Amino acid sequence: MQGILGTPLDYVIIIAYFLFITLFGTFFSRYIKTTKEFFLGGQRFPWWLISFSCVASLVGSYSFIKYSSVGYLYGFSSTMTYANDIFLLPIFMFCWLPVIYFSRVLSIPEYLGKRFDPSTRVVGTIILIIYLVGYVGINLYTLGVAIHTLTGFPIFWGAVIVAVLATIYVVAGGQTAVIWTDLVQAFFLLAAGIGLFVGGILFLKPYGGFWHFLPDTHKYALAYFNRPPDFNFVGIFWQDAIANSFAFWLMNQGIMMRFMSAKSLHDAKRAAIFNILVLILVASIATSGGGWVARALVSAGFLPKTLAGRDAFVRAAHLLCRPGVFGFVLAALTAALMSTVDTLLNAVSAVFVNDIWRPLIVKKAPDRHYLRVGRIVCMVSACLGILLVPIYMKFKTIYAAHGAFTATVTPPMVVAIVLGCIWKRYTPRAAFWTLLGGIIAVFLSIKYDILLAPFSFGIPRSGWFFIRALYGLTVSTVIAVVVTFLTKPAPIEKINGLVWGTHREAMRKFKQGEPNEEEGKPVILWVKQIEEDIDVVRVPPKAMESMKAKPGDILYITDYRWWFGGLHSLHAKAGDPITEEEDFDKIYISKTLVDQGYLRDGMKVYVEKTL
Amino acid sequence: MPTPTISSLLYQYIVGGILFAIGMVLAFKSDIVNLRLRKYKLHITWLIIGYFIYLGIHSFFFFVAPKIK
Repeated sequence: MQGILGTPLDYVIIIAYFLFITLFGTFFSRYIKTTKEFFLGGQRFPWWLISFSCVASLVGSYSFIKYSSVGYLYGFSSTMTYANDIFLLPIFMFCWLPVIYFSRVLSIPEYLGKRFDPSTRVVGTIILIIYLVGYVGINLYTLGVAIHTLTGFPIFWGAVIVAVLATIYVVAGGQTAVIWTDLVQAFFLLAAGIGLFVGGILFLKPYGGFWHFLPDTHKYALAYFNRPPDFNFVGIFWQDAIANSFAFWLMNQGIMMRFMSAKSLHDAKRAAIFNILVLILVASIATSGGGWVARALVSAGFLPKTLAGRDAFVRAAHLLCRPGVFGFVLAALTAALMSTVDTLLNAVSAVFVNDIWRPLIVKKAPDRHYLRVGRIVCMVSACLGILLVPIYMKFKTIYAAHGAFTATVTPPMVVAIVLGCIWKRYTPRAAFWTLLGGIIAVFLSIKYDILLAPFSFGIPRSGWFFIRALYGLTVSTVIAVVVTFLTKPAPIEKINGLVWGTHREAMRKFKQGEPNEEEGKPVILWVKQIEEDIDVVRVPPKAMESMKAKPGDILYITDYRWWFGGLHSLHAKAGDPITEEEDFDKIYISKTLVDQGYLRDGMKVYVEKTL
Repeated sequence: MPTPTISSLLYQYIVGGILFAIGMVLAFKSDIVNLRLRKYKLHITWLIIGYFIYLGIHSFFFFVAPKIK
């Protein structure tokens, strides 16, 4: 079916979309002056922006093809992968988020270095770079496949075009560009996916309805326990619901940076809850809906019975959409890719600068030097991702390629991070051997798959690769526990703030003072730029009282227009209250801070106490 | 494809439930969670509601939806 789909109007829409996103992303280059802004967007964004941009990163281009294919073959159980993250949400919110938010680490290897030792950091850096660059390659490959299916355009060159465009705006606008473009792309891809699903239901209504044509076996949300070998419940549960979900939320440097860019820990938690309870459910329907509709269309005779799973999404879209609308759906497919790749490029850059360049190569240089290196690394990692495309082209299926890769590298890392953030006794030596031993064990299981037999749950041998995640998690956990009890733990003062049970200390270090969690109300004030160059802001006594703030507390000052999403905002400590009575509705901010927060004199702002 | 049995649903919510429960215990015992404050109460409430929302959805698409003709 190569080169037979779409009209010139569809291609015009895709090209226009590419141009719009690239220009929109590069617009944010004006907000990038420091590495903190390039990697963390200045820690200024509200929960809704974090949440939507996260879902765009979650849904890769492979998601539409992969889950529509699975949905076409197996029905609603294609949602199993996404609709499981609730189980790990408490650990993410109450153990991991406070640690990364308050410890001011820039990368996961840096966390491993602080929590454990330098050797663990080195192993973590190597794993993470391989994981992230490999993931860039997978995403580029799958988009190349989609473009090839659509136009007959070579897979490799399709990947190159999209990689170049994403790299342009990431290099220019860093994390801020990533978050804002991902917001747009999230709306786009969710609307397109849900629109296609609803369109299919409406299309089939006069003929007896979608539900009528959907086979009964496709109406279950969970698959059969251990059959068939290539899609069974227990294998997917351990590979996707546990290992990959933990990897996404705890080990994915891009997601970690996204949550660290929230304006407060409270907003980071709200973003996580909204994401898992609402957006992921919507995303699971958006990505699988094309496959469900395709199956019903095949039963109703509108599509051929020979339709292959990997073509389900594109063929259903082509049948249901008019010229132009089809272009939007395909633009959503590319939106899904770009929003994942941009996150990964920024993440690889953060790890390289923070864990390789700064500590090992150029130790003390001006911030602008590291910013320049960060931008160069973005470009280099895009090139590496492109070079991986031909390698992934050799794998039999996209699903197997993705599963094999993630199941190999993630279990030891997931165990090290989870135990590191919840178990004080977990020792640096144990973490090192968890990573090294876990990787060796998983590698051995690839060579000798008989090692997976005890974990197989009766799955036929050809499907054992799914269960490699459970094997890897189990072996890594055993190594972690045994070595922990054979070695000395780090002194508590060294790990204060880096592990569950010491979060209050992390808050103190973050604030450099006692946290004030008394619940107050935000206030609306007008900026008054002052000549005096002070690093605190001053608000009237009534405002302090309303916010229940005291001098020394951290305030968040943002443009009153919420739709700017914190672009014009600032965190600063509260100084002594204003004594001038005529300035009862003003906030005094120095010129340096006004510039730093992209505010201006006379601007109406919303002020709240964050800590 | 074989018709799914209840073992998948039970496995998911028992094994997943254990993991969820461990997380909730850690949340309740955390040194920064103060349940007298509204924001923490909201977080905990939404987590528990979320668990049951997912259980409800999966149960519906296990016991009810496949029987609707």
